[in-house]
Amino acid sequence: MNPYIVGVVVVYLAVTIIIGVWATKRTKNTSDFFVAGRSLGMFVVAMAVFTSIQSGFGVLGGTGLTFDSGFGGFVAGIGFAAPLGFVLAWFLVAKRMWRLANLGEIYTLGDVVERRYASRGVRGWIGFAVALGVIGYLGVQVQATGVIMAAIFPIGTTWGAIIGLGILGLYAVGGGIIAAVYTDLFQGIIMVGVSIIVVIIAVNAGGGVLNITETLQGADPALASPFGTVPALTIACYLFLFSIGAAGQPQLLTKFLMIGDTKELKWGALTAGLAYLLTMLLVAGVGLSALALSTQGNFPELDTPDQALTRFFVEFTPPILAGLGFAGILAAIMSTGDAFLNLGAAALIRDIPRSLNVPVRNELLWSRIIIVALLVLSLLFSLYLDTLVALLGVFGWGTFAAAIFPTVVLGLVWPRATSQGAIVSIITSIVLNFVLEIGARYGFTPLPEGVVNGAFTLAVAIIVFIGTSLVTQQEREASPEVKRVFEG
Amino acid sequence: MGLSNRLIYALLGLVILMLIGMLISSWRVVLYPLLPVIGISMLFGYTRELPSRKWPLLVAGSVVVLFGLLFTVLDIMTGGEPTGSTNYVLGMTPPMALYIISFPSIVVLTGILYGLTFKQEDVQEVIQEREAFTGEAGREEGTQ
Repeated sequence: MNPYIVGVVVVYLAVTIIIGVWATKRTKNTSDFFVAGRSLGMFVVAMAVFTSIQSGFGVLGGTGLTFDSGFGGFVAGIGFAAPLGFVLAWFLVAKRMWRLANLGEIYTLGDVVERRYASRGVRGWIGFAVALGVIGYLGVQVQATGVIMAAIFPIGTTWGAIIGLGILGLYAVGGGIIAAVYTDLFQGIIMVGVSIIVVIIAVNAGGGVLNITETLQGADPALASPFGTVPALTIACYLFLFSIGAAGQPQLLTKFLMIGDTKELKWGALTAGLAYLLTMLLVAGVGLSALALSTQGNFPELDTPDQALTRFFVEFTPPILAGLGFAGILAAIMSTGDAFLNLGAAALIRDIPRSLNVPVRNELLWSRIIIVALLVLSLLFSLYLDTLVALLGVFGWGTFAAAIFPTVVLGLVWPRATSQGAIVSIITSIVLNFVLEIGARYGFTPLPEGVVNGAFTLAVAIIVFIGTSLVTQQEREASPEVKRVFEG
Repeated sequence: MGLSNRLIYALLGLVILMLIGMLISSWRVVLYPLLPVIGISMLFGYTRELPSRKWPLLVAGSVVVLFGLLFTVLDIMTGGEPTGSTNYVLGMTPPMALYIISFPSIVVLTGILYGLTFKQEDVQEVIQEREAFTGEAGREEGTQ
């Protein structure tokens, strides 16, 4: 690999370690570790929301899907719906989560739902759903880290994953969420900056927008249409799952617990949404340009569409920019990884033990230990159980959306929601998602072609949640301070 | 029936419709009910203002109408062929140009509307409320 590319990536990794060391010094207690002492400002939170959602899948996979199926492969559905989802999450629960966070030691989604429903059972099930998704997400990030590190440095994917995880561990173990959000800020700025510059290069490389369009249209008219070769039903499902479902992603929701003052919420939705949309320029620009170049025979042969972005960086951008591009991809992977490490620690050290009435005595110490364990576990999973990792990775977004959106989001806006409704909908979402995703791997596809499993599960979970709540109405009312949360 | 109940029942009805749309493979029956779901999600952010004021309906309604217009025009344009026509707008096929320009613009507009209609909460008021409700002082420090 070109030494300039290696140099830029080494500098990037060094900066993340420095931020980690600084954050470790600032992390003194559980509140710092999980909610940054509730001291974060708008820009940091907005960038952390954007980067923790914009993962390796979004950047590498998104470009690959666009290269494979046109604009509809990723951007038209997922890429445009997710930032809309950020904004809707702000409308739905930003203030409510902030208000709830003021009611004591509310650090995790488990804390939120136990306070909301006065139920340890709901806390336990939310913790379980989060833990399952975390293992899947982490496994996918580990695999992606290995591939990217191996593409940059003269090492294999296993060593690439180990070194990448080592650096992630260095800042995530010591600095907790403070390290995560400030590295996210740094990583987010890189991702946005690279996206804006590279899209211009991509359009130029493709011979301009008109030339790209004409080339794609010549190959297949659908490739020049907004939905590409993807069925409209799938796009509609994506729009539902990734807009409404975004408000159910734990890495987004928990950020609202980290804000000290509500004024910091005001422009957060716009900032996070805009930053995400700017990275979609990269995904769409490179994906479509590479597809047009490939159609003309001017793009290198790829083993898989996921290589489209990295090959574009190497072949079509100046080395320093390519280095920043690789740093941007690593940033997308690591920023998602650190968020999930923290969520995993919260679920395993705080939510699940407390739901069983066996709280952990030194949560800070044990959270750090469990993050190391999660790193090792996710590495082993990605090396030896890659089928399971792939399954849990797919399972992640849909399960979070279906398990968390009704219980947490609808639970905070609807006073009549009950703990039974919450538990039944969480179990339904986990079981249904597993059955549909595993079934799909073995040829069991009960849903009509084009329907996205996660979207179907989200719809079912919402219906089950509201329906079960209506038939299990309780006499006991929520406490006055929780009632105040419902008002928004 | 309270406001939140009405909103949640409307949401339930629309989501059931979307589920039916998935089962009968009709993208329109999935997509078009999603638009009022977006509006309802926005209205949940105005539950304090809604009983006495009408402007939240205007804010949420305008976003729903804009999305509705976008998809209706797109639906009509692509009815015959996926690229709409042989013309180009900004180097793109007309439906592509419409979608790329309009969808993100509406998302950005929605974010701006959130900021413009945002009402700040008073931290001290919240802490005092909590003390009044529970008799406890607000605990800001975490535990080791």
